[in-house]
Amino acid sequence: MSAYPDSERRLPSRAYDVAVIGGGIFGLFCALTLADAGKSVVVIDRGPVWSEASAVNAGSLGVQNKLPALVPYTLWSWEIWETLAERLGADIGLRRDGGYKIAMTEAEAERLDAVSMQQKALGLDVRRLTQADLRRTAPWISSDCVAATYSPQDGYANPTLVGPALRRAVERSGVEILDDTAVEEIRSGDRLGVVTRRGEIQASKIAITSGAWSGRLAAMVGVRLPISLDVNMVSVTESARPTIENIVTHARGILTLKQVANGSCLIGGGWQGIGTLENQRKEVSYDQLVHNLRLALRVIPGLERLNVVRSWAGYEGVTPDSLPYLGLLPGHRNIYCAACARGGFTLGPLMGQLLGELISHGETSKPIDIFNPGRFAHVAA
Amino acid sequence: MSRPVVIIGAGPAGLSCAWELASAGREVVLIDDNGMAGGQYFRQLPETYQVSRDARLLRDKARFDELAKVLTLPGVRYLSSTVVWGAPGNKTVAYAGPTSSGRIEASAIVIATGAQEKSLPFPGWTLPGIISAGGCLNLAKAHGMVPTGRVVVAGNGPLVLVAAATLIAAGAEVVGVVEAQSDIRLASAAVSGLFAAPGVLRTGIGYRARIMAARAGFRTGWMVAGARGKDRLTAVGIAPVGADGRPRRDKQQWIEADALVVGYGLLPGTETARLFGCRTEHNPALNGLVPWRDDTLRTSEEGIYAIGDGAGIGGVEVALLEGRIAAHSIMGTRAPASLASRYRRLDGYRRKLNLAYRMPQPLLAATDDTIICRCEELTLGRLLADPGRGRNSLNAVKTSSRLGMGRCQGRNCLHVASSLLGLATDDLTTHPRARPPLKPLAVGLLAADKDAGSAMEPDEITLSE
Repeated sequence: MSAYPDSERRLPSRAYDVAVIGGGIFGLFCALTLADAGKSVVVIDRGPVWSEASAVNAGSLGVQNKLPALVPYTLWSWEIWETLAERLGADIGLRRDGGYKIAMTEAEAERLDAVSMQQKALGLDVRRLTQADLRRTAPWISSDCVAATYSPQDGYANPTLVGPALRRAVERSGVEILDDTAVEEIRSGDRLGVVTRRGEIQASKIAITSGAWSGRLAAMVGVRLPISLDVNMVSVTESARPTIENIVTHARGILTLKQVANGSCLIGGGWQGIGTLENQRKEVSYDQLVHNLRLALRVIPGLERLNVVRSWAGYEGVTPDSLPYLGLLPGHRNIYCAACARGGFTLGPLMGQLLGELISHGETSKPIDIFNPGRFAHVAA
Repeated sequence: MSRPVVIIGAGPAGLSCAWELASAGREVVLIDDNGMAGGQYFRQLPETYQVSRDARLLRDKARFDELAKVLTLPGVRYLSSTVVWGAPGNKTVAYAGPTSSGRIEASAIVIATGAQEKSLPFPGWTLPGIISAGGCLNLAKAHGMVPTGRVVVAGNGPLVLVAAATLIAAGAEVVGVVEAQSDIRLASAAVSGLFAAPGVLRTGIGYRARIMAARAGFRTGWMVAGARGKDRLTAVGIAPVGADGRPRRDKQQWIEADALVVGYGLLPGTETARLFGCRTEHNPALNGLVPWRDDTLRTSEEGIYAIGDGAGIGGVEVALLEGRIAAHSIMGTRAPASLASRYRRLDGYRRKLNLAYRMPQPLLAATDDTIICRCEELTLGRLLADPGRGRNSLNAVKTSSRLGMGRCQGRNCLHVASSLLGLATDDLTTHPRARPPLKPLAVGLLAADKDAGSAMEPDEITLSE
C-alpha cells in the first residue's frame, strides 16, 4: 500500500524505557541524551524524522532575536552547538560570525535601544552601532537603516546538514527510529502504550516532542496544551559572491537574512504562508512573499538583481506566551512534553537535552519551571 | 471587462493558439520568457544581424514571419522577456518582467511552455567543449554560431539527425554521429510504415544523406561512454549500448574531437502545470511525466489547457495543430473537421516516432565519480550512499543530499537521478513539489509585483514581558 517498503516492516516486539514521539530537533536530542544515560529508546515519527520545522527553517542561531526570558537558555544551547560538529563527526555548516539587528524607523530604533539594554543586563554581548559604524562594517546594509545593534554571538547552522548527521548519531547510540509511523492513540496509566498505524509500542515513559502536533498528542491523554500555528515562509536565492558576512535581523522581528556557505541568501522573517495542520498543505502566500522580499530589498539594496530560486513554507507551533513547553504533562507521571519554542532551532539541542535529563534523572541541569506544560491548564479555552 | 485568455509560451503552440483566439475576437495575453517569440523551433537571428538569406538556417523564417503577425493583432497583448512565476489563485498568473510585474486573472490558461532536454551524465561530461543538442541548435539559429574543430554528435532521437544535419549545413566539421537506437528497430519502424507521415521519413532520410555526404561516421546502437581532456574536450569515448542500457565499456572506442553535441531526448517541462494543480501521469514512451489531458486538450483543472511539446513530445506540426484545437475548446466552437483528422493522423505518427526511438532500458552512462547534480556537485557514488534512498523517494533523497536544490531546481538532474538510483518515476507522491518562483527570478522583479495584496506584517514577539 505505502510507497515505502521500510514502513511496512514489522514493529519490534520489545518494550522500551522511553518512546519519543516526534523526530525533530527536540526529539532527537532528547533521544540522544536518554541513550547516553543507558535508556532503551524508540523515536516514532509520522513522516520521515527531520522533515518539518527542524528541516525547513532558515537555520538562524540568533541570540538577539530571542525573548529576554530565553536569553540564558539560548546561550546554554549555543554551548551544545559549539561542539556539535565534533560530537556528530560531521560538518553542520556552523558559523558564529555575529549578526546585525537593524531599525528602519526612529520608533524601531528606540525599541532596539530598550531591548539591547535588557539583553546586556542578561549577559549578552550586544553593541549599539552608530550609522557611521554600520557604514564602515556593513556597507551592504542600506543607508536608510537608522540604527543597529551588533552581537558577535549570533550565528547559523545548516538544517539540511544537521539533520542527517544527527540521525546517524542517534542511530549509532542504539536508538530505534521508526519513520512513517503515525500515532493513533496513546494508552496512559500504569501500562503505557503508543498505538500506531503499524501496531502498538510498549514503553515505560513517553516524551511528546511533536512541535506543532504536540497539542493533538496531549489531547489523546486528556491534556489541553494550547498551540497556535504559524506557517513561516523562507526564500532562497542562487549563489552569489560572498558579501553578507553576518546574519541580519530586524528590530520588530519581521526579517531574517543571511548568506550561507554556498553563497545563497536565505530570506525569511515569519511572513505567513497558507496552511493548516488538517490539510497538510503549506503554501506560499504570494502577497506576503512579495512584501517579505520588498523589506529585504529595502534593508539590503544589493539583492535587487539576485535571483530567487525557491520559496517554501513550514509549520511552527506557538504557545500563548511564546515560551516552550517542557516538563511532565499535568495529571501524568510518566508522559512528558517538550515543544514549541519561538526559535526552536537555536534552542532545540538544549530543550531536548533537558527533557532527556528530566526523564532519566528526574531533575534538570537548568531551571525549567517557566516552561511548565500545565501553565495554561486552567485558562478557559 | 471580460477576462483574457493567458497563453504561457510564444512558441509554435502558443502562437498558433493566439491566432485562432484573436482572429475570433478573443482577448489574449501571450507571455514568454524569451526576448523574441518563436520558441525553440522558430528561433530567429536577431533583426540587427546582417545576414545573407542563407537557405538552410533560415528555412522556416517565412512561416514564422507569417505566424508572428499575431503579435500585432488588436486584442493581443504580448509580454516578452517575462516569466510566469506563480499561481496565486484559481486561473490567475503572477508574472514578472522588465516592463511590468503583476497578476492577471484569466478566463482560461494555456500552458505552452515546451520541452527540456534530458541529461545523460557520463564520465567527463562537464568538460568545456561539450554542449547539448538543443543548446547547439539555439546557437546556430539565433547567432549563426557552430562549434569549431572536429565535432561528434551523439544521442537518441530525431534531434540527433537535426543537429548533425544543421551543423553540416552551417559548415561544421562533423566527424561522427552516434545514435543509441539500433538500426534494426529504426528500420523496422520505417518499414512497417510508422514513419510514413507526410515528409517525416523523407526528412529523416534527407538528414542521413547529408550526414553520409559529409563523410561523417554514422553509428547506430552506440552511445557516449565518456569524455577525455585536461582543460577541455580532446576525445569522446563511445561504446555499444548494452542490454541494461549502459555502455559496454569493454568495447569502448575513442574518437578525437574538439566538440561533443549530446541530445538524449526531450521531456515535457511540467513544473508550470504542476504548480497550477494539474494532475500529471507517467508516459512510458518518454519515460517521464506529462500533464494529463482530455480530448479537448484540457488538463485535470477546469479552464487550464496544456499544448505542444510541454504536454508530450510531438514537434512543431503537432504543436501548431494543438494550439488551434485548444483555442476551439476554449471558445466552445467546433474545430474544422480537417483539423481534427489531420491532428489524429499526426498525433498517431508522433506516438510511433517516440516509440521507434524508445530504448528498451533507460540509457545510463554515469560511474560512481560522475557528477549528477551539477549545481550541488553531487556524484553518483554520493547519491547511492544517501540514506534517503532507503525510502524509495526522490524527495527524501533531495532533502537529505540537497539533490536538485541549486539554481536549476532539479530540471537537469532529477529525472536521470531517479533512473540511476532505481527510484520509481511514476509515483508522484515521492517527487519534489513544484514551488514558486517557477524560474529563477530577481528579487527586484518579484518585489515589483504591482498587484500584490496588502502586507500583513508578522506578529511581533513580545519582547518585554
